[in-house]
Parts: sequence; structure tokens; C-alpha cells
Amino acid sequence: MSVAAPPALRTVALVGNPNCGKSTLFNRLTGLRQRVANYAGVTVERRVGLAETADGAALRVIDLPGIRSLAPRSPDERIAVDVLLGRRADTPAPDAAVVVINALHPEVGLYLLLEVRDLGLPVVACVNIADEAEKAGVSIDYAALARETGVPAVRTVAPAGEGIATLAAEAAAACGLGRRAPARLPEPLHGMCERLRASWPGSPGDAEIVDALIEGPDADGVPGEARESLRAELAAGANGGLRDAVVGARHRQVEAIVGRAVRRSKIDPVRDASRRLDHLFTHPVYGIAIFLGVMTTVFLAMFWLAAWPMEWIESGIAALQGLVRGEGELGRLLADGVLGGVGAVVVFLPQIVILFLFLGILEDTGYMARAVVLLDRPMSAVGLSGRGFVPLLGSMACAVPGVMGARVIPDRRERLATIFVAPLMTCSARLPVYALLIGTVILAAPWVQALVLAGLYVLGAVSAMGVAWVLGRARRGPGRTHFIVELPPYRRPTLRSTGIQLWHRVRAFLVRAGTVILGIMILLWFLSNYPRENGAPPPLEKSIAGRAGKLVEPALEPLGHDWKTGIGLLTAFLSAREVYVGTMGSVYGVEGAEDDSAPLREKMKAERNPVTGAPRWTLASGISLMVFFVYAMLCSSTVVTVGRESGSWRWALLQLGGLMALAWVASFAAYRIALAAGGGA
Amino acid sequence: MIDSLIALSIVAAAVSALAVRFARLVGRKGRGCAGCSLARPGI
Amino acid sequence: MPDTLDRKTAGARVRIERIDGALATRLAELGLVPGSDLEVVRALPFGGPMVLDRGGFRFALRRADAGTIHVREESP
Repeated sequence: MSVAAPPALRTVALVGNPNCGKSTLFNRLTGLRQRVANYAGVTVERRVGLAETADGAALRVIDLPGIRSLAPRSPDERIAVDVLLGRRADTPAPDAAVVVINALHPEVGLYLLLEVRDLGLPVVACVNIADEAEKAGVSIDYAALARETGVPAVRTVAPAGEGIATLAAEAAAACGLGRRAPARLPEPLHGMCERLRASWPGSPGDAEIVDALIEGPDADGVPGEARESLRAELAAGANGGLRDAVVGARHRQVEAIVGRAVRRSKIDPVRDASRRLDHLFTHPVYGIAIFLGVMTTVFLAMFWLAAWPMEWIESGIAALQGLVRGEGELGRLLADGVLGGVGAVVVFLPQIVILFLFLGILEDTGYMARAVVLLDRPMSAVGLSGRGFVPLLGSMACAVPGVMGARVIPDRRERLATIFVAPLMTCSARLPVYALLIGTVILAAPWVQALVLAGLYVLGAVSAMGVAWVLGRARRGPGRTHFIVELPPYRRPTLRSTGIQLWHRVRAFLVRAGTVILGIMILLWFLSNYPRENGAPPPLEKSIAGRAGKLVEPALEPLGHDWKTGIGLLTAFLSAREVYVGTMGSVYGVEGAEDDSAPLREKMKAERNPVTGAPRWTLASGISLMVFFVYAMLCSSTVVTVGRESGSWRWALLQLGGLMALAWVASFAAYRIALAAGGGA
Repeated sequence: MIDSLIALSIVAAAVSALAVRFARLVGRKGRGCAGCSLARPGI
Repeated sequence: MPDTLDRKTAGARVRIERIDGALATRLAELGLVPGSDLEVVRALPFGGPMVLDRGGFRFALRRADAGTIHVREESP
């Protein structure tokens, strides 16, 4: 055989149930050679990376979202199915699929394995988490498994890297096999599917159509256009035995395979311990107490551990400022605008890192799923369904993907309610603001500061539920939709996967600081330094920025705030909440003495009301602003996203106005209460 | 003088970059937000 | 009076007899079919979700969905 040109890059799809360690596997296969983006038009994360086999061949690996079967029931699942079927223009059709199964309960993943195999795609079965399974007394005969399923079976322990090389080799080999025709459904199903496909929007796979035939035309996921044809088909032939014919038959295949390839010993000590932990963590009273305790501890770590690195960053920036500042414009732009502004946000990096680190560890241990179970009933009580969970939980990182994630909610009114309250969930952009304000006015031990932060988070979440209840537009009562939450076994997080995850999040924070915040800070510098007075920069109050701040000041005075915060809020509104911090850094820096290197919070504490001589930043005014930030819609990105998702700009503006009004009222109330309680000095 | 010119052109660049970002955000594609990669806590 | 899963309390061990409705498919995908054994780990109050265990596979179901699963209690 002559030397051929190297083959085009082969593509392998990594597919499997959620919670089978697929992400760790993906990280192991691709190392840091991965890119995370979004599939066009949806919030589903798209992860593609490059793996290398032992003989140096490269393999493109697409990590698909976790799915249970090929009948898609959420946008995540739809994307996965579409990619597998090669129906996405933005993603190459896979040459093979690695189906990842959790060795602890292979029967749960085998269903999907058989479905993917029957697509005609070459498949490699990857039995992951094998070490824990073996400890739990589950023993798998890999040869038998391969024989029974008709595909190679590889044993892996992703965190330790066991089996990875073999997996890569098998995957590469599978790519060379080529697709076969998909397994044909038995009649009359096959005929029904073919006829229905014609009237179905998009290009659905067999599994989706069959699922609709089983569930009936009125089921949730059935597209409106297909209902009629579906009804017709079902009227013509009975669907009574369909579920058994398809789902039951497949299940029996799974049972047969398990019977021949999997042995379970009766003894499993770990399972008993984990069952008792679950019993504790889902206790209605103790469970919630533990949850609040855990979150507070995380916040405590934020304030306690971050102090030293923060000082270090602060002095570094101050030194840099001293170096860069000169006589000229450019020097001042760089020192005050850029370093002062962006620096004020970047200073909170240690706290952000600690928070993301702890949250990442919590997720990886599997604890979060237990918390979700606890919160289901209370959320249902205010009309937010379990489907609203993920969007709202996601909003705690950023409301934009949260709002987009609300697409999974079929009931329009419930969806709008979820979108309306999503911005109330404390997003990560609020963190630098809270950290700054708490650092400035809560002059107490770190655990007190942590409690205040926890209180702000709780206030946001409780307010979201309260507003949802008031909106009253969604159905209430114990949740109605099918909602199966898997509680994965408790796991010790590995340094490596936690590290990679943390790195992605930190990078996102820094990129945002370096782009959006930098941009606004530069613009702000310009607006604070013009119009010129006799060739020199005007006092801040007379500049464009200052005048804008003065314009909104009357609305802020009752809340205990001045035009400087006014500038801050305006800049934040135009871009992102943490820009408020940057603006404060810039605004207070501009006013300060040239070589003043005190941290921002000290400058803020020193600020005095020019009329009364009283300090501007007191406990009362700090709390009032914190409360303001809990409610205020200070994120143009979210407004725009809501407008798009709800299909109504009127609705988005209504939300903006409503939340701003709520913010003002709440802040006013908080201010007055705090003053009355003596927080004014 | 040169100093001021450089400073002002930096400002112009920043403004246009921000405008572009905003336009992309409002536009159909809707991918113009680094917030998405701020990643999700929870399950 | 049919005996359904939603009436069970923590510690109960049951065997599935029949599953009504659309949940049947979802559960079958997870390997849960008539004949499967389940243990109830926790039943949250006010009609809250139920935490269940099947051979080490632990998951939570809404109470209403548990009501569609007909079971027979097994002696421990």
C-alpha cells in the first residue's frame, strides 16, 4: 500500500448519562487542548477538544451534554441528538461515538448505548468510575460485555487516567469503521415513522418520533405542527403495545446483557454510608440548616483567606500607578482611568477565586444535587417549577444564560415569571460590589462579614420567590412536571478537574475585566476629564460624567448617596454591575492626591458630605446600597436578553422599570431602618 | 501633544469596541456576553 | 385502594408492579421497570419530593410522579 495523505481529522462524540464522569474523561483525553463556546442560538455549552492516540494520531472529541436517551426532552438533549445524527451545520458529524457508562450501575447507561449503536454509528463502550464500582462489589466481565453488545468495551478510571490510552486507541479504530445503516424499526412502526417525518419540523431522529407516538400527541415535547399527523397515525393503528414493543424490548435487551456481564456482591459499605448522608442532607430542617451553614462557611473563607492576596494586589497596582503616572494625558489615562478603574475590580480576584473554588468543590462532591431536592417543594409553592431550577441556579453565575435557559419551561406564563425573577438571583458580577461595600462599612470580624454576604444571597433568593408569588401567574402547588434528579454518589474532587474548571471561570472573569470594564473605564476617563477649563481638566463635578451623576443625585439622596455613586450606577447600568467598583476606583482616584496609594475602601471611608461634614459611607448608606444592588437591574445585557427571549421589548422594559422601582423602595426602607437603628455615624 | 492624541485615540478605540459589543448583543446571534462563560454553579 | 409509591415513608422497601403514564418511559431508560426493587430514603413533607434508591442508584422524584408508580411492599 502506498503512502497515503494523512486522513482528515476524525471526530468522536463523547456521549453518556449525566453524572458518569464524562467531563473528567473529556479533560483527560484532551488535556487543556479544549475550547468551550456555545452552540449557535442556544445556551448549551459546546466543548470540543483534541485527543492524541499512542501512535500520534489526532482525534477531535466533542463532549456532548449528558442525555438519558435519544428522545430529546430539553435543549441539551436536542443538541446532543442532533450532533450524533450529524444534523448540525456548525459541528462535524461524528465518525464514531464513545458511550460512557457508570460502572456502578451499568444498566442505567446501557439503554442509551444500545440506542446509539442502533443508529449505525460505530460505538465504543466506556465503563467509567470502575474503581468505585469494584469497591462496591460490582464486577464486570468486559469480554462478555463486548460480546453481548457487539462493541468494544473499555474499562476506565478517569481521574486516575486508567484506560484513557486504550480508549483513545479504540475510538480511533472505531472511526475507521464507517457508519452503517441505522437499525430498522419493526413494522408498523417503521412505516409510521417514515410518514410522520414528513410533517415534522426540523429533522427528527427515529427515537424522537417513536417517543411522541408512545406519549401521545398532547405530550409536552411534541411540536404543534406534528400533532395532527400524529393523531391520524395513532387513530389508524393502536399504540397500546408501542411502549412495550420499543422501550420494553430494549429494556429486556439491557437486562440480558447485565445478566451475562455484570455480577454484584451483596456487600457495599459505601452505599450505606452515602444513604445515611442523603437521609441527613435532605432532612427538611437539618438539611436546610446544613445548606445555609455550608454557604456561610464558603463566604467566610472568602473574607478570611483573601485578605493577604488582596493587599498584595492593591500595593502592586498602586506601585504601577506611581510608575505610569506622569505629566501628560496618556499617563493620567493609564494611571487613573485604566489602572484605577480596572484595578479596583481585579483586586477582588482572590475572593472570586476562593468562591469559585469552593463552589466547584461542592458541585464535584455531588452535594448540590441534594440541595436542589430540598428546595423543590418551596419553589413549587411560589409557582416556580423544577424546570425553573436550572435557569435560576444558573442565574447565580450570570442572569443572561439563566434567562435563555428558561426556554425549557413549556408553560409561557411560568416561563415569563422565571425570566422576570432571574435577575434577583445573586449573580457573580455583584460580588465585587458586595465585597467592596462590606469591606468599607462592615468593620467587624470576617465571620460577620461572611454572614452579611450570606444574608444578601438569601435576600436575593427569597425575593425571587416572593416576586414570583406576587406575579401569581404560574400554577402553584407541589410540582407537576416530570422531574427526575439523580443524586450521584459522593465523590472526592480531584485537584486536576477542579483546577481546570476553576481556571476557566477565573479566565472568564479576567477577560471580562480586560474588555468590558477596561472599555468603560477608558470612556469614563474621557468623560471625567472633559470639557476642559482653560486647558486643564475640570473638577470632576463639572465634567460630563460629573454632570450626569449630579443629574441623578436627587434620586439617590434619600438613599443616602451622592453623585459619585450616581456616576457609578450609570456606568454599571450601561455595561456590567462590577463596573460600579471600577468607576468608584476611578472617581475616587481622580480626586485623590497624586501619590495616594490607600485602597479604595479607605478613600471611600474618608469621603465627607461637603455640606454637613458627615461621612458619606456609613453602615446605613452601605446597607442601603447593598440592598439596592440586590434588586436593581443594572445590566444592559440582561435587559436585551430578556427582550429577545420574551419576544416583547415592552416586557423587558416593564421588568427594568419594576425592578428599579423595587430597588429604590427597598433601598429607601433599608436606609431609614438602618438610620433608626443607629447606623448613621 | 502627542500624549493627548494617543490618549484620545485610545478612547475612540474603546468607544467603538463597546459599540460593537452592544450591537452584537442586540443582534440575532446573541453571543456577545462573556457572562456565559462565568459558568454555572449547581447540578 | 391501589398501593402507590407516594404513600410510602422513609425506610420502606417496595417492588414496582406497574407504572402509569409517560413516566414509564423515563424510568425504563434508567432501568426502572415493573419488578425493580426500590428503597425510600426520604419523603419530604408537604407533598415534597421523594428520595429513592435502587441498587445504589439514588434519585429523587416528585410526589405526583411517585403516585403513578404502583408498588408492593416487601418485608425488610
